[in-house]
Amino acid sequence: MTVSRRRFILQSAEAAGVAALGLNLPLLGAPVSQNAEGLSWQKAPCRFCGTGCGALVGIQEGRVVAVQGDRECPVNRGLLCAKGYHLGAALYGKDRLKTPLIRKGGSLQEASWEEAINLIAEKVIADPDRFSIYGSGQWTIPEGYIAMKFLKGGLGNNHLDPNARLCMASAVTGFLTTFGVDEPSGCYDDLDLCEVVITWGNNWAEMHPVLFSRLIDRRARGEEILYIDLGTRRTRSTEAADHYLEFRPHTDLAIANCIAHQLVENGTCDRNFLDQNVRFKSNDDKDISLEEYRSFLQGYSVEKVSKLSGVPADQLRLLGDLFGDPKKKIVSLWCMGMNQHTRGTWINNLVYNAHLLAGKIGKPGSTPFSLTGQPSACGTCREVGTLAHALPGGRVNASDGDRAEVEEVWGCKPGAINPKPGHHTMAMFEALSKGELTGMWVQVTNPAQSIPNLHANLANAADRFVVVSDIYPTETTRIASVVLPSATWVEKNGIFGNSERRTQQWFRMVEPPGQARPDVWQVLAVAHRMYEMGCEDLKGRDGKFLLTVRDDSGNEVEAWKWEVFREFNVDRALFNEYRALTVKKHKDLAPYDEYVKVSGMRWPVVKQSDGSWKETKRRFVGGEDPYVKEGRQVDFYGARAGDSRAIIWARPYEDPPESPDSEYPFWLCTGRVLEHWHTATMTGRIKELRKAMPNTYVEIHAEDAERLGVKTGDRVRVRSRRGSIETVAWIGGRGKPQVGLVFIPFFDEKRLINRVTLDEYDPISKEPDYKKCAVALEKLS
Amino acid sequence: MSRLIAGRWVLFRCLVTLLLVSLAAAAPEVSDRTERRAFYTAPPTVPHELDGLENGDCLTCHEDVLDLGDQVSAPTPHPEYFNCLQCHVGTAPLPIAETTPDVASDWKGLAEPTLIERANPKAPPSIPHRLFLRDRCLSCHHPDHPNPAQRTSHPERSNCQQCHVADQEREF
Repeated sequence: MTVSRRRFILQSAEAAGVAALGLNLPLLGAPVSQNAEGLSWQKAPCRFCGTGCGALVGIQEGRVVAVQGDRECPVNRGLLCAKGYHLGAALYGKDRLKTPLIRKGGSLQEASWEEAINLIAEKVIADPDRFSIYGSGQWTIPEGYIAMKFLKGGLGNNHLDPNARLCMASAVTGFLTTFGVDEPSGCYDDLDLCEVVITWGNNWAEMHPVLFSRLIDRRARGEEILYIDLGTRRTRSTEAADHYLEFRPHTDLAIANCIAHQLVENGTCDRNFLDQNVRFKSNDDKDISLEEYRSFLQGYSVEKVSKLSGVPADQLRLLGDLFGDPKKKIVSLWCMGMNQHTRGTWINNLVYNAHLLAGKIGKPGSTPFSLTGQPSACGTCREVGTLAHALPGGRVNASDGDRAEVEEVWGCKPGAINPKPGHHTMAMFEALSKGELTGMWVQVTNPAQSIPNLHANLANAADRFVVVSDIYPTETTRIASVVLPSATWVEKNGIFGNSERRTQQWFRMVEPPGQARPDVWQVLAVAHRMYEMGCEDLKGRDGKFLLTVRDDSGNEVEAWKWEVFREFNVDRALFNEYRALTVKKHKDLAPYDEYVKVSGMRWPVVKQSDGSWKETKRRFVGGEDPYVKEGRQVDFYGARAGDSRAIIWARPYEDPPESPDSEYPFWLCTGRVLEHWHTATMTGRIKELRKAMPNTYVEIHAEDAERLGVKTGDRVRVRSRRGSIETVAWIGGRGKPQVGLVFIPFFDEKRLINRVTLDEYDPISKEPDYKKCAVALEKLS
Repeated sequence: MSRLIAGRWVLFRCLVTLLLVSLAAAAPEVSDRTERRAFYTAPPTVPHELDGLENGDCLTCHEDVLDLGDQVSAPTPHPEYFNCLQCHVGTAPLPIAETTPDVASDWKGLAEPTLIERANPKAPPSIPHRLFLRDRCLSCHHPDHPNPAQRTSHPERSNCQQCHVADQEREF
């Protein structure tokens, strides 16, 4: 990792000054450059997707005035996307929440922090076991960590889950079942080295545009890349593809098995790799032989799968031949298409199967790679473990040993952490509606727009005690009892972890508006108020405040006081405490100060004999990952059986829970567009992005549109068994769905497509399927 | 044979693209460059409709200057990048736009620089922006440019950095 000379000098000067004073690093970091007009630039990762682009933020007179790509960040090498460039404007919408609000007599009214914190503390003390926290893959690492410590270590309940449940839970269960441990082996560098890229239901030209460009810009340099797009609709990504394989929704399960079938039948598996690194299991978790696996695959011949999926036989053979070519370097990429799937875990397993059978993993340029949607779904939700069943560093609530280790680091009373997993997201909203949960604190997310089948799942949420921390009014603040104004992005310190295991840190650069304050402080303030009120849950084993923040010398810092918090780097203290918990499953992180110097490092980050810290590009790979056993090329050391073998699972095709019929004849697929981030709370307030994409629409295939007598611009009602919305038709526009399928983006708060979507979920990952349900279309006059 | 077909296809696409862009000529021409940029050095937004165009189509008109008489295309300073719509978003309403959104914002983007450094009053001005994505100088600098900072009296001298130095560490 290179640090420019000038940047290094500035940072070294700062570090020296800090050391001389014997203080923590100051809140405001050293600018990487500053000019005569008072404009300075500092580094921060982008606030939006899981790519984790490095940005340089231009600050003038205490405000963000510009954002550029950081050329020294190896993720994006100076590029950003339209969302990233315009990110600064996300902070300055006129309706920023600037003061706490409390619902009184039916309307939200301005209140003081004192009043809001007292009210929350009283409510939680009154019913701690039925209070929950619904968080986010946009939580910074310290935000997720402190929320978890408060709920799991303090209140002793586990009703903590993030919106990442809706986003990458199937990727997690896919990793855990195949490799025994979460998160990918490969990294973005593999995009520079591969010869073939296969996207599985993934429109990365819009969702991860910087990575998409990283690949296709190789063509401009004269390199040959074969790009195969598997999808249910043509997208901007398809425009760059050499082959487009259009499949019937849900049949990706069969297509992946068809690749395996061809490898086994054609004798093109990598037998050496299999002998050393793999074992086979039946769907009901019994060891099976390669012969038994082969007989399972008989149902997935090219002919059978072509008939089921609608993909022509020669295109299926193309996939089989590419995987069967020992020389070809292949990267598979996927995101929500495979994860938001009622068999999301299985399809993740099945794509791993293809790569394992062909030995196309753990080699530069050859890897299956799960992209993440949110900036810290990996860093916070998966690594800190802010899930209903999990604890930091790959630990789980159900394990006595894991709980004891966490209680030790947290300073909890022994037995403080509850072994019983809490409600996962979907169960949490059901429990809230039924009153089995009486309270919920929502942070950095907007469930009243993003949960599927909204009417059913948020039916009575407004009757419960719902606290919402956010930066703008949203659908969720409409049902809130208390709204807390939050600081965002460079208005606070933060740390994110991206898709390729890269941890990135940034400093506060500007002040939050009005009385807005960081979520870390909000949790500390409520917890301390409960402690002051005598709540035993918030006392550690030494009888002191459980969430006590300490400086480097071990002295207590009264960080729950705002004036103290803002002068002390609480992120640094929390991160360095959390670090101790990352080593067990080889997810080692370096000390906070190391991340200040660079545009992130990929874990495991291990200290070298010369005192420096070294990142790991590829996990499980000899010569790269320090935890691989001596002499091995690949070592899947996370394997639960302790045999360093990944598992090839015999997962069958299964019909989706709801398919089109005569009454509801169309598939509905939902998703994002390039211009908007999730529910457009931020991007909807950025002029350039909002003008480019002002409202949602329904994409219809030209043949279907003709049959319905619908033209672009006509109003259409889209109706399912659960609800309906009215929107406008777009035919032959940005995306072109297959016959019988319609696509609608979910960003538009005025047209809530999640009133229509299905809330069936993967029984293993509990992640709902936003990509498939049955709808009827009706042209409106 | 296939090359001939491919060649005809490219020609066809070019014609379609030209037709679509000229149909979109109703889009108002924005003279003020700051209108099209959220801040100095932000990627400009696209002042014409994009519907019906694909990513690679942009370079048909924007790889170099294309003079259609009443409209002249702005050439890109970075023709080596293909995924134009990653950074450049449209401004004209899509055919599907139901309303023209009113976005209430206090955003104030970085202004155009007022201070251009020179070693002495007669010295060639230094380059006030970073060269990454902007090293094809004549894409944005020409003799008739309405913005004085982008005017050059000597476009025939194409080795710009012989005299105009860039602060390589400038971050914008």
